[in-house]
Parts: sequence; C-alpha cells; structure tokens
Amino acid sequence: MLTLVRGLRRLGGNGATLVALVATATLLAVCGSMLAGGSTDTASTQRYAAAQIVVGGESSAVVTREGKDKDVALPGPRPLSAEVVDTIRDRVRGAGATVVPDIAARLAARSTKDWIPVTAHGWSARQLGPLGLTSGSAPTNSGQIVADESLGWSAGESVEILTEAGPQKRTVVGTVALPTGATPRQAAIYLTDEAATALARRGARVDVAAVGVLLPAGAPNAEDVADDLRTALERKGVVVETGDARGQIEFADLARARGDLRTLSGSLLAVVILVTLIVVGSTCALALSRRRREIATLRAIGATPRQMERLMVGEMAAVGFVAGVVGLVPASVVTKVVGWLLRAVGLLPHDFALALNAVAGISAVLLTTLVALATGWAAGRRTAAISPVAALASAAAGEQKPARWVLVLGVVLTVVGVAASLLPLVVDGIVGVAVAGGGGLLLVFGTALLTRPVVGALFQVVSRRLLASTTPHRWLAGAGMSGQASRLAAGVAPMMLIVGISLVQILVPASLSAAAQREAAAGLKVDHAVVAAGYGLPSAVPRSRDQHRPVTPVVRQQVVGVTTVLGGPETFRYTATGVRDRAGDLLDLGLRPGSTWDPTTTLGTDQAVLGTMTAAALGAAVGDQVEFVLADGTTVKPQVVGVFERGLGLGDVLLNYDTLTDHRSVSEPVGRTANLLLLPDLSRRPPVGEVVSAAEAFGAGGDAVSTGIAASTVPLFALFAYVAVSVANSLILSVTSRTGTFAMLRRIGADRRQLARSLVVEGLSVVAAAIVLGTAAALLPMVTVAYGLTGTPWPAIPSWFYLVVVGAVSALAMTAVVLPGRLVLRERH
Amino acid sequence: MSTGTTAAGGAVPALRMTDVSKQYGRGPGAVRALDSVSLRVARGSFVAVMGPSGSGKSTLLQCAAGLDEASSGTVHIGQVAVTGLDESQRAMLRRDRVGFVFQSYNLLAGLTAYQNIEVPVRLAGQRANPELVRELSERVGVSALLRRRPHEMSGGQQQRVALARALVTEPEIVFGDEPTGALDTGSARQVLALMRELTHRDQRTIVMVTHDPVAAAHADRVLFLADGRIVDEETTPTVDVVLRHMARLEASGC
Repeated sequence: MLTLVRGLRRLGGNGATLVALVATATLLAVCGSMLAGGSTDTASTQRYAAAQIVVGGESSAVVTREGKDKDVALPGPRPLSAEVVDTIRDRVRGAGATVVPDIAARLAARSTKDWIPVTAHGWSARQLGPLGLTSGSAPTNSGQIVADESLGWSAGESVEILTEAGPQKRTVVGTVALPTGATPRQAAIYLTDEAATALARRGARVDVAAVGVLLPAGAPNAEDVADDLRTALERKGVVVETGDARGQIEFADLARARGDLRTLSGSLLAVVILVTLIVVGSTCALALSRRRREIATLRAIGATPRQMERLMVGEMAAVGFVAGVVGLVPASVVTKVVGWLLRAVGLLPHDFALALNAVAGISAVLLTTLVALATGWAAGRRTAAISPVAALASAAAGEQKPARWVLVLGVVLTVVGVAASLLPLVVDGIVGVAVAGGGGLLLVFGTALLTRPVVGALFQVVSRRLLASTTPHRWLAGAGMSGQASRLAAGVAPMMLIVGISLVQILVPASLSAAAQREAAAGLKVDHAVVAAGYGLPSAVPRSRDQHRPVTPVVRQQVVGVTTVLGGPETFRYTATGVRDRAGDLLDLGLRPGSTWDPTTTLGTDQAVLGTMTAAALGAAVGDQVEFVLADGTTVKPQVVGVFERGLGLGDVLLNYDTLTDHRSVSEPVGRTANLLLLPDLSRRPPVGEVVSAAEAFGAGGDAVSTGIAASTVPLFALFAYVAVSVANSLILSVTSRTGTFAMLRRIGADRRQLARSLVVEGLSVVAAAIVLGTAAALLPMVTVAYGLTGTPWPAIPSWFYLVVVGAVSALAMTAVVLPGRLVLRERH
Repeated sequence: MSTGTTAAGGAVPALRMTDVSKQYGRGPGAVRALDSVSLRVARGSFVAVMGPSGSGKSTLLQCAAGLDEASSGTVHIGQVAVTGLDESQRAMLRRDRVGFVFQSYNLLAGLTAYQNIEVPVRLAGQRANPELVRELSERVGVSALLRRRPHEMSGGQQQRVALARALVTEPEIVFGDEPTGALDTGSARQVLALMRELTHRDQRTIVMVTHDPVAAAHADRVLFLADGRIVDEETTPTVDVVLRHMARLEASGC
C-alpha cells in the first residue's frame, strides 16, 4: 500500500488522474460485458444438435392499445401452437426435411433417493440429438421410460415420476446418451409420444417446446430455409434459430438470464456514466489545482489560452487511452467476480459464465479516452483561459470557484429530484414509488454537483469551531481545512455518492420486501407450506378429516397487467396467485368494502381480485374489466370482483387456479401442479417437497429484505469498487499535496503526533460530511417511499445495512487519510 | 529539558556551537557536511552565513536550530543544550525558543494574517495574547492587514507576517533560510532593514543563510563557510567587501 502511495506521489497529479481513469475503464468494460450478456457462455445446443433449424416460442408478447404496440417480457418461452407446427411442415416439405416437434413436460422423478427435476420428452424427439440407446430398448407403452445415462438408472429399474395426480410408477427400459458423450445440462427422460403428449397437456393444448427441422444431406442451405420459415412465421410469437443460437431455445433459463443481465446493466449504465463524470472530473480538478503554478508560469511566459487548452486536452487524451488499455486487466478479473456474485445470489444460473467481452473492452477504451478528453477540456479551458496575472495569484491562493453550469445543473437536478420524491404522497401505487426511487438518484447527483459550495459552507463552520480550540491538533485540523473547499469537496463528493446511491438503490426493493413481509405475516392463517425447487407439486391432495382447512395447492405465476396511459399501452409485471378451492379459509386477504366476491367460494375463471397497488396502477375498481397477459402470451380480460389490502405479501392479483396453470410457459412445471402447498398442520405433510414457513413460500420470509438488498446491490458492486478507488485516490492526493505545509509546520515546532492527529480529525470531518450529505440527499425519497408503501414514514432500510455502508466508507476514508499522512510525516524535513 | 552551563555574570549567548560536526553516511562514502564548527552568536546580533553551494550552510542551520542532530559537538540555544534532546523535545524547543523564516514565506493559505502569526502559540496549546500580536504586527508593519489571507498580500507583506510569526513566542533566536530570496529588490531591502532594526532596537537575535551579498551586507557579522568549516568572517560588511570574500572563496574552491 505504502509503495503504491509513494508511486502515486512520484507521478503527481497525472498519477491520480491515471488511476481514476484506469478504474473508469475497468468499470465501463465490466458494465459493457454485462450488457453483452456473457458472450463466452458456451452452452450450445445438446438435444437439438442434429436439427439444423430449431423453432421455439418467443419469451415475449405484443400488446396493442389504440394502434400502438408494446413488447412485454414473459417469464419463459411460449409453447408452439399446432398451427405453427403445421406451417413448418408445409414450408419444408419441398426440401425433403423431417420435422420433429419436441413435446416437453417439466416434472420430478426419483429412483430411491430424492426427487430431482427432469424434463420428459416424447421418444421421437431423441432424433434431434440424435441420442442413441446405450442399453435396453425404446419405450413401447405408457408404463415404460428411457432415461439419460447420466441419471445412473439402469434398464429394469422401477422409478417414480411426479405428476399433478401424485407419484406414479414407471419402469426404465433403456438408457440414452448424447452422441458427444457429454453430460446433459438438463436431465431428461423419454416416454412414448402418446404418453408424453398426455403428460404435457395443459387445458386444451399440448406444450410443444420446440420444433426441430432435420434437413437431408445435399439439402439447400439451412440459413435459406430458416429465413423462409421466419417470413412464414412472422408475428406468430416464434423464433427460428440455427447454429449456436439454437442453445437459446433449448436452455430458456440461459436466454432469460441474458435478458435479465441486459436490463440490469442497462439501468446501471446511466448511473455509471454520471458517477464516472463526477469522479473523474473532481480528480482531474484536484490534479490540475496542484499543477496550477506550472500552468500559470506557462501562461506568464506567453503560452496562449488555446495552446494551453490543446496541451491539456492532448495530455488527457493520451492518459485516457493508456488508462483504458491498462484498465482491461482488472476488468477481466472484476467481471468474473461480479459473475460469481450474481450466481451466488441466484440472479444467474449456476453454470452461466460472465466474462470480459471484446467489443465491450474496445468500447470501454474509447469511452475512457472520450471521458478523459471531455474532462481535460472542461478543466483545462477554465484554467487556461484566465489571465496570467490572475493565474499566478490564484496559484498562490489554491482555490478556484466551481463552474457556473455545474451549479445550475446541480440545482436543477436537486429540484427535479425533490419533486419526484414527493410523488408517492400524491400518486398511489408502484408508479409513484418507482418515480421517487429515480428522484432519489437525481437528488444524490444534484447534491454531488453542489458539494463544492455546500462543503465549503459546512467546513467554514467546522474549521471556525476547530480554530477556537486550544487543543493543538484540533486547531491544526481547523487550520488545514480553512479555505480548502475544493480539496475537501473532492474527497467528500465520491463518498457521499457511495452513501447516497447505496441508500437509494436498495430503497425501493427493501421497502417492498419489508411491506410484503408485514402483509404476509398478517394475511397468512397457516404457518407452514411445502415448496419444491425446480418442479411442481401434485395438486390432487387427499381430502381428509378437516374439510375446512385442507392442504391447499397454490400457483404463483408472473403475469403482465396492461392499461392505457397517454393513448398508448403501459404494462406492469405482477405476481398472480391462484388458490385451488377456497382462499378464504387459509388467507386473510383484507378485502376492501365494496368487493362482490365471497372469499369462501372459488374464484371464477372470468374474475380477478386486485391488490390495492395493482388497482391503483391499472386504474381499476370493482366491476371494471382488466387485461392481463398470462405466461404463455394469452390475453385474458377478467372482471374485478374485489380489491384487497395485502397485495404485496400475498400476490398483486388473484386469479383462478386453472387459468394460471393452463397458461404457463414451457419452462414451468407440468400440468396443473402447484408451486406451493399450504399446510394447515404438519402431520399432513405430503411425501414430496420441503416444508418452510408459509411467509417464506410467498417470498416474504424473514430474510426477504436481506435477499432483496443483496439482489439489488450486487450489480452495484463494481460501481462501489470504482468509487472506493477514486475516494482513496483523491484523499491520498489531497494529503500528499500538503507535504510542503507539513514540513514547514514541523520546522516551526509541530510534532509528528500533533500533525498525525490533526489528519485524523480532518478525516473524521470529511467522513461525517459525506455521511450527513449522502443520507440527507436520500432521506426525502426514503421517507416518501416508505409512506407510499407502508403508510408510515419510517424508512424500511435495515439499520445493519446503513451501518455497513457507513462503516465501509469510514474505514476507507480513514485508511486513505492516515496511511499517506504517515508517509508524508515520516520523511525528512 | 536539561539546562546548559550558565556563564556567571556575563550575558549568555543566544546560540553557542562547540566543535559541531555532521557526517552523512558511513565508511569511505561518508560526506562530512560540517567539520568542527564553533560559533557564538550574541544576543541582539544579526548574523549572515554565506558560502558556495554545498559548503554546509543548510546543515549548519539545521543543526543549530535543532532540526537535525549533530554527529559530534554541542549546541546550546540560550541556556538549553540541544544535543541530547529527543525528537519531540526538540519540536518543543523549536516551538518555544526558536523562530523560523523561510524563502517562500510558507504561510497557511486558509488562515488570516492574525491566525498565521498565532500558529506557534497554538501548537503549544495556548492562545496568543491579542495585545502582543497587535504590537508585533505594528512592529513589522502589517497591523492593517491582520484580517487578510496570504493570497491577498504581496510577497513583502507575507514575509513580514512570517517574521511576526517567528517572533510571537519571544524566541531566543530566529533562523532565516534565504528570507529575501523570493522578494523583489525593494521589498527585500525593507524586510532586511526591519530585521536589522529588530536586532538592534529590540534585542532580537537573527541568523540567516543567504546567497545575496546585499542581504549579507545588512548583517552585523558575516560568516563564510566552505567545505563545512568557517573559513572567514567579516564584522563590517559592505556589498563590495562581501563580494570580494566570496570571489576569493570560490577561486580557492576550484
């Protein structure tokens, strides 16, 4: 560390700028790689390898309002309709191709041990691999299956599969393996086509996950055929893929993770660019203020402002380019670390590899050079344009006023941020809350731009107080801080950004989780539930003694609510809950007066009960018709028969159980299996799944808030690391720039201890200012969001999170102040 | 703090160095920066130290002021033996008994002139007597500028504030390191006249290192240093005399 600090000092101002820019390049490359979506991911197709063309369902649907279209994301790929399969058959008949539909059902199976999730395919789909029998024979009746060799089952063995009706016996008659000998990424069993079709039936249709087209040898180019199919199947909600892209149809979870990653990094990128500009700008300003005398001298000996500007822009461009290239080294490591963290918190599948992307790397180098150019130009223009006399004078003064446009922008951002933050008080529902969250970010950035004057005023007061002290190190700290607004602001700004952004970023998820937790606790009349990872639970539960409180299957499904805003479609993602039989016995929904539905009856297929926030967002009341897009892209228009209070905890909308299970995506559990079973008493636990608390099953368990925070802070991890680097950077620069002053004070009789302690006092003041400013900037939205979601103004941010942020910032700042201070003081006077 | 010998009856010199040597490094590569230097500076005198670069001027100043430890020999400031004090005792000695004036003034940028004058007193954990500060500032001619910050003052004014800062603890002796080096001729003359006046009228003691024959000519006594020894001394310096001495020194040095 000390060697690093020493090296930095040698490099002087440019060293600090270089470090800030290297960190910038790293951050941009990491973000870019996330946006590119893990391009080194090698999960190419396995079971469809022999089909040159694979057709699968899209993971999105189109909604239309008043002639305007909008794409909405679905939780998984839509199944292919019989009409699509027929169209494909017609189109490729001429080419002599074989068309094989892949019927797939996601269920669980076991031999003697635990249930494991497997996909059941029809036997004909084996040709798509093509998978070959490694032992035994093909299935000939519904009681027989062929299993992946990797499952470890042998022919003749008796196994069970778990359907909506419960466990059922099957006999393994053979095993298959991939032609490559690789272990399949998803385990599968093969049934006769008839058995698979029966199993994959959902309501009126059968889940066809994909259609593979096997072209004969000497057939026309697969790309041409694929293009023809694309034309024929346009606007049918399908994707036609060839080559490596076929893996995206086979592995919907990977495709989905990629999409999630794109959304995540997209929303992160704006924050990143703003933070980058502020951080690099302030470091660059600090570095330039150290070199002001040199610049003043050059101006004095006759360099024109234009020459100076060019000199500085040229220099910064060179520094930026070098930094960009150097930054790619840490970027490749950080990308891997971020990928690891995202997998750890479950945002990415366990085998999704995130790695540095070439295009992202090159863009990062270019962007870094541009950022360097821009800041060099802005800082240099101001420094170079003043007259030589003023330059020399201000070189002595060491202070420069902040640019006017920075202040104006800061004020504008702050005002807009305040206005946005107040929205939850006026507008009900998630819209107000979301806008307030965005407003919080604006407030934080506005405050960051205003740090110079604010910190100046703040430290004026602090240093005056310290100068009144007769304790030498306090007085020394006061003397060191007096009139040093720009130096101190450069240290405070990035730290307050960390505090502010951390609070604002977790604000909405933490508040939502906290509210959900409370509502679930209040709304669940049972303590336990059964859940399963990766498969559905049987919904045919034996009814026994206690008819009032039976074991109740529940489906939790993502749906999209559609409404019209400003003459166009507006969509919201909701979690829908479907309760088989009567919800009223096990759930206390908190129905609002005016509801026409009796919770002790089953909800009809054309009925919906909305949570209050959902009703507010969709603008619907009892009696209105609402529109939802279900997971398979089907649109339903049920009538609202009730509005209930506990939507955040129990589900944003209640729909009929069968409506939800019959319209699942192909990557979801088979048939009418349940996502969870409510368990009124533990003695009746079924022989499958895992017993958890009912709240946890509804995603509102005791650690829901922490999980929510983890999920929303991990993407910011790289950003925090970046800001940390720049905080350390600017503080080190700020301390080492005072070597001369310390040497003088040592000479006139200050001892080392006094100076070291004065640095500690200064460090503490900087930390305190950053924490106060960061918290203050985030406070307003914190209060209004909490009020909007829970009705109380007390922010839902857990104290441990706040303490972690504050502790991390303090530790960082104190290390960055005390360590270089030691070094400076150790030197000979 | 140990107390040095008191010369019975007679005035104690402000600075007394006896056989002081300073050696950097060890073995054959060692550099002898000071070679058995003995020197007495009487209270109320204004002494200039001159010599070519590398003659040991800075080392002499550092050893005399207790910034650095002599390798051998003794140094007394007033009655206090500097030799043998540890690091923090020497810091206290500098704070209470020694004043410093630097070439580049070295005022604290964020503080007013008044606050800058106060610095050594504050380092001792006390407040300066406002009367004393006012008196001093009048003495050095900055009483109208007490509320200004360094960047609002000229170089000459800043150096006067620095002088007041050096004097505020009523030190035994003030050391100057090229105190007029950064000033224009006019300001330099004024500051030198002030320093001369302070020694003669107020019985202050000033030892300064300088390159400038004009500055040296303002002193009562000029010591010439070469290769770590005092090789010459002039008690009635004029610019011409000093120049002649320097020329001789540089010729012999080659």
